Amino acid sequence: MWLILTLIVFAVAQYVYLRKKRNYLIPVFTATVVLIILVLISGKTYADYYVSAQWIDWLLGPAVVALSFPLYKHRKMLAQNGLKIVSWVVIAAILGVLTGAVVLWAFQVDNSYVVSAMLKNITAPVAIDLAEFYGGIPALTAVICTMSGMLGAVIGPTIFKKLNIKSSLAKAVAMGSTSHAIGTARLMEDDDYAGAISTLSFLLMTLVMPVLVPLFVYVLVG
Amino acid sequence: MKTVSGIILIIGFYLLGETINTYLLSWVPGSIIGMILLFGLFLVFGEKLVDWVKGGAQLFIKYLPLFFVPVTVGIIQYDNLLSVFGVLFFSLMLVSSFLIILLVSYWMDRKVSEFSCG
Repeated sequence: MWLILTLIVFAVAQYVYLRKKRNYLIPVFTATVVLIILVLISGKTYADYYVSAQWIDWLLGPAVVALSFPLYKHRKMLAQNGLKIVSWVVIAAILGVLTGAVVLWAFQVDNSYVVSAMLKNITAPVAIDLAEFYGGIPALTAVICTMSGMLGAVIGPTIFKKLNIKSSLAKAVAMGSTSHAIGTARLMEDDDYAGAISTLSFLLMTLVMPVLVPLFVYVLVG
Repeated sequence: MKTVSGIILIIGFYLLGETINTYLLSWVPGSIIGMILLFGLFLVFGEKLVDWVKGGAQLFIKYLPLFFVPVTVGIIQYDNLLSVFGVLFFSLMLVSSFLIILLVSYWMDRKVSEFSCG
């Protein structure tokens, strides 16, 4: 039931998005809002919803595997720009910790929140595991990861336009290291070269954070 | 026909990744392991394999946003979103992510055009 409803709501959201072409109407955002409202007014819990919709969630796994195709297709360009991509991803990672987790730490918020906040810009399946490992809150981490993903997917293209950013490399590294797979999916829509860089950036982010998090945990939490 | 073969191969690599995750590498998600392994296979077999996988891969990528919907609906489990601390916490997270995407794209765009490559 919820499975079919999710597909229908998404199909309608996709149709509206293709007709109107407004960034804030991207289906992952609008469909989610509509489904949340439907679940809440029907008086069901998330568990009820998930039992039925888990098959769609399962497909996320193979879809991530499928990203190896654009990576392969653009391997030469990626290799040429490899060093540049790696260094900017590290900058993005540090910037993310400084503007998020360090602020919480300064206000003496509980350590579990500080650790969770460090993980907000990596893809949810990895972030959840790392949260468990370093003493964050896995469920909360999943939520802030999704929020960061949606934020980039919805307002990223507008930011790029306003700042007049032309380079696919700059757009894609910023998107991949902020909004991981959700932002990557948005970039894929109009530029699959950018999508490949974004894929590489979010992969690198998942490699950088497990190094950075223990370092910051040691310095901040002690 | 080729689309179907691609879908089957991709799902196969996902399951392989999950199996490796369960028995060997519990700290790397199965989907990431599968992605890296399939990338390796692309490097070995080149264009011949691309021909077989392309259709299926493009289909998965086209519907990638759909697959995020069930996880995202999970936000409803956290009613502490509604407390003062919750609102401040989530706002800070959004502001932080906003700053990263803005500053990184802006700085990098200027740097990249300075050297006029890429």
